[in-house]
Amino acid sequence: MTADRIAAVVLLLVSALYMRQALGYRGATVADVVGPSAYPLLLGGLTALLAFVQLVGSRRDVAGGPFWGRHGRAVVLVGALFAYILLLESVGFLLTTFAYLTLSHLWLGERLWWRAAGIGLAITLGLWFLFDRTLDLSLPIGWFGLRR
Amino acid sequence: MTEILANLALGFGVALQPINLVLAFVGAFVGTLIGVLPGIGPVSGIALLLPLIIGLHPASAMIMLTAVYYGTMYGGSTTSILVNVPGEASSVATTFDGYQMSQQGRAGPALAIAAVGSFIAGTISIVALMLFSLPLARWALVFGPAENSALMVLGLSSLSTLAGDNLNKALLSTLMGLMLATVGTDLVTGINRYTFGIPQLLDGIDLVTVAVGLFAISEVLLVVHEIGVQRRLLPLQRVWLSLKDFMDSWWAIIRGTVVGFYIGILPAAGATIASFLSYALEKRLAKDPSRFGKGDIRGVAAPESANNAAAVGNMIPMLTLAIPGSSTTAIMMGALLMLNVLPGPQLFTKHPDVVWGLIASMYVSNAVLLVLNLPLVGLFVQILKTPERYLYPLIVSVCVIGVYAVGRSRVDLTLMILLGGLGYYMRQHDYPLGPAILGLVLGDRMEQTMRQALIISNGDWTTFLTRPISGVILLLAALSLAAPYAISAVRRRPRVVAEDI
Repeated sequence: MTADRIAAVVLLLVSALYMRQALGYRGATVADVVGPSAYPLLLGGLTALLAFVQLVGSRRDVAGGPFWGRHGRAVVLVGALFAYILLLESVGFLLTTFAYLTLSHLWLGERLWWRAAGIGLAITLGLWFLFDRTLDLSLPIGWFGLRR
Repeated sequence: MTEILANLALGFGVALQPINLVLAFVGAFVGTLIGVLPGIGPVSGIALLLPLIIGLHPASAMIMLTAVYYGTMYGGSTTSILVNVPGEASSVATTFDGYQMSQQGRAGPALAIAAVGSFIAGTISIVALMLFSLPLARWALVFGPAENSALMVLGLSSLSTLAGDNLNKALLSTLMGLMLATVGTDLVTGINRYTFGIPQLLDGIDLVTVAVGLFAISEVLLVVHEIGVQRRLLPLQRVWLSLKDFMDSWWAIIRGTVVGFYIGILPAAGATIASFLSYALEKRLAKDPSRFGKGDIRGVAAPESANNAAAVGNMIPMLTLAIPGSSTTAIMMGALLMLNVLPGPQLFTKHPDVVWGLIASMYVSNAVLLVLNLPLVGLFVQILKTPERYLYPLIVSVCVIGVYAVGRSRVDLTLMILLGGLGYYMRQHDYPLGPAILGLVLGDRMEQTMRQALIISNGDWTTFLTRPISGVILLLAALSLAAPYAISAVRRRPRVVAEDI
């Protein structure tokens, strides 16, 4: 089974669920002859058709190499990102960003912990002053109860 | 003619207001920064700036985004010439001779001709833009909903044809964007579709979230595997241009401008294709084609002029027909929609200050970039020396801030990460990302116009084919989808880099 075939099967499933959901959308007004479900059904149908073509027509083989060797770092980064956004609002922008940056620096090859932390701190404060204080985007405060 | 001059006067009145000049400077600077940085391309760069333009006057917002767009192109060519790393797809062709020139110690003239060529091309094509767009907009005023939805089908299908090698995958990417656009409250009936009880989804999925996730986060996910490769930077001398260099490049610039502008107007054929085509054209016309690829200054002048002219040409279908020709213009159109300005023929009558302010600001941006970038090129090069282990975590943090600023909710951030994973998969398996963005931007309006057309025709779907203009447009769309098969029957298609289109 090639990657393209797996993707085609997933897309077939997604389009089936998408169309099933669309069937439930009713409530046409008098003028709106096709209603809210026709367009999603059209999209879902086309997707299913193209996914089917890909399922039948795909011939290419998957690129070699073990999964972790090729995707390990990306998986770790996705995990780190989820942790980052999960803590962002409760712990606050300053602490989470500082922690995320410092750990990333170490992970990506910085050997000296104090340099990783120092640069992490500098960037965090820089971003805070630029976006929160200057551009007024008000980032989450969290544990620091700093009031403006 | 007098009408155009009057409009232009109006435009310059807007563009030269102090606040707008400041925005043009800031935009040009930030844009160049984005163009120089690997990892953030023009699409995600402009998307990240969208939260900042909320609250600005639409004309000011467009002026800033145009300056950013122009800046990314300048920044992209700088890195192409100096380190052989194109910041984006449309400056790939510049690396062929640009990097060779800088290895021969001629980085100065290469950078200078890129800037001067872009300036000349930009100026000429803006004049052409003014001449073309008004008649086109007037002609498009007669379009009804059937014609408009047919136009959108044409825009989506021709982008899918040109983006990437596999048409089937490009179309799937388009459909993914269109399906994402159906999330949220249906405007006609008020029914919530695909929101699954999550209140943050009622307004639909935000363009910023999708663009940043699909483009920026996926890019970072890809490059974390390659961190540690060192780039070699050559010492940079003064940026200057001799009269001989300029005269050698003159016709390359003019031809690059013409090619770029016409390619730019075509739906979906963007700056990338224009730059490759004009490079190929110069090489074919040259008396000594063997010099190309070995540091010929025309090999820098032509693609740089062409991609700038194409960027201007690209604005025409976006402004007059509301059909963006590239991911970047799709994002800019998304910005207009965010500010409740609907592009299309009415834009010229309803918001003349936005249109002509934007057009005038292109002149201004060109000039700003010329005075800003030639002296500052050394500074921008320093940024390239930043170790990647500091750069990429910083980019991720900026993405998080940008997406959080849109809706202040964890839902958007979660979607950003999921779409980042999806984009990572798509990049590795040849699904182009551009069509998904265009689908997302056009999706809502496509459904609305289709339903309006069906209301007028009383539910008769053949209305799209029997109305003459709409029928012809759909025929063109069908031809554009069939074209790759016809061509590949004759010979293998050359590979097109898919980031920009």
